[in-house]
Amino acid sequence: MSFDPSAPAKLKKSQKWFASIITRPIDEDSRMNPISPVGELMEEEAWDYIRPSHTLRPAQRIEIYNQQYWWRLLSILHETFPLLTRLFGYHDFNQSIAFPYLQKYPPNHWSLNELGIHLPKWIAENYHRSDKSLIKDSAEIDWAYNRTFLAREYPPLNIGSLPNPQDLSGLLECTLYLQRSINLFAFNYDLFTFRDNFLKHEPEYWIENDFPDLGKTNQWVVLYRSPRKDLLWESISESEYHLINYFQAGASIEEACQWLEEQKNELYTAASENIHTWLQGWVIKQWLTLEKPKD
Amino acid sequence: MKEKHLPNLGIGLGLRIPHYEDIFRDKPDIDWFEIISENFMIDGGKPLEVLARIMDRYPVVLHGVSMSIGSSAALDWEYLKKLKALARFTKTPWISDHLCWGQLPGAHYHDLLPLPYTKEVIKYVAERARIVQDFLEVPFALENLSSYVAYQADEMSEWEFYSAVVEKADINMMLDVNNIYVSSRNHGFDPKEYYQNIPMERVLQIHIAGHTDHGDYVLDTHNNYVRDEVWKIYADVYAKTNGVSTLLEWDDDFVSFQQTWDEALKAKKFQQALHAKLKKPLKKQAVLQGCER
Repeated sequence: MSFDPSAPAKLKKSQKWFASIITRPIDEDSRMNPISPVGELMEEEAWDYIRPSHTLRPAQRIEIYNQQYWWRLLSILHETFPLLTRLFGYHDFNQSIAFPYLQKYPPNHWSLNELGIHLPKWIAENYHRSDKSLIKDSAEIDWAYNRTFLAREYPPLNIGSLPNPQDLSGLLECTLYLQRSINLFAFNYDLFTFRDNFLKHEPEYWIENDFPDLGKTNQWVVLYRSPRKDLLWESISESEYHLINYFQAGASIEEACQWLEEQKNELYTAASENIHTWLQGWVIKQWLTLEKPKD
Repeated sequence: MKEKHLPNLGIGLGLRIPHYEDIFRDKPDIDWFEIISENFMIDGGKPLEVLARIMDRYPVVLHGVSMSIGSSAALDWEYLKKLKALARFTKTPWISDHLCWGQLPGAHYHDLLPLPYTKEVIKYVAERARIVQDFLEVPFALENLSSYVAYQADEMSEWEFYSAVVEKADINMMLDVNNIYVSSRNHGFDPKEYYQNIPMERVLQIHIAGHTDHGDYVLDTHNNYVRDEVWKIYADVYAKTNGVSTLLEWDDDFVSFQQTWDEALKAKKFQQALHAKLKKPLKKQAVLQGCER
């Protein structure tokens, strides 16, 4: 995206100035930085571009846009990362996560759905407190809910869609892919139940009340969109997790079975006993497609 | 202006998530819904499923917030292609967005930022609006903003600027009467002067909404009932248009679906007054034909 060559120079200049002012962080009382990006007093510099009203000076008028910019973006991050927001509370989330993140990754897409796309990565790189693992995982599952909600759906696998529906042996050789709305997780705590319990109350509630229990247990989870388009998650066994994960990049059932044989014994044993049931379940839940999803 | 036979859809609501459950359960007798285009310019997922269910029963009109027609950045053709695809999918009778800017190369501000009211900006924006309308192949309308700043560079009033842009581009007006009121308070003009000096024949739709009065300024918040001052403007404007589609926007601090719809229906009182005067019944048959539904 570049400038429109026919844009009037004065318009370009005034828009660049406007943008430079409204994108600077507001302080904890939501006030605009009193010094402009070029080091002038905002009270003076704003007069060059903005007229006063009968009640507000130019700097007060543009401050409204500065506040709106931040309040809107913060509120989108609160909606997109509800667990993370509850873990920190609004104030700490804004100060420790949202402001620094949005300065590093200001919005560059017309859709606000994209605003949090870099947040899990930003946390991995920039958050260094002792609870980093929980914070990073929380950001990842919050973002996964967003992805699952919006992911394109490819035609789900059904027997009728096979080249020769009468001969099911053909299915063994077809390359199958996981729908892009499927997200897989392996944790050593029950983070999804923890999240569900957290989301029963607004962030303010958790400032005064004890956090829900975070059960210590190995957990393998599929987050998915049901055929009714509801977002659901379910715990699966370790072997089912590994097997279904194998289809992410595309694989035939034959290839998957061959891969299983090369795995450690207990994984292979459990999978070989259950693969038929699992496959049936995945087809019913429309998790598989014959079409290669576009990334 | 080319004759376009745009339908009067009646009274509608902005489609918002907190109301989905009531709408799907009760199937209320609402004339039409307006959707925020960008929320549905996606590859799939729950929003498109909801949209398909809404379209089974109601006419849908697209209203965007991110076209940034007045930006000094080049037009975003990927955005416009997605918008056009959504327009085809929904069979929207028109598309509207705002007379504003909100992006620069590499950055989106997700706000409706005001433009300087100058002759060279009129020329620039009108040309872009004409290109957009030609590309979309659907009647295109621009909406007036609520604004909180006025530029030193301004050479004319907002209504002169707005009128000139739509006339020069040969497009339509999506007139937000709450925005007229909000801006009149923030800039100190008489709302009547605004709506008495715009080409009313270009108005294809009216927005009504609530706002928040902060004393020193008024903010367009869409989080409240429509104020009496705004209804008064609506009554005047509706009469001057001879009856166009009307839509209530309610985007925050939601009340129940029924309360929201009841608020929108208050518009009927003003519409009936006009139709009684014109001895013309309030009908929707033509509307439905116009929408090809």
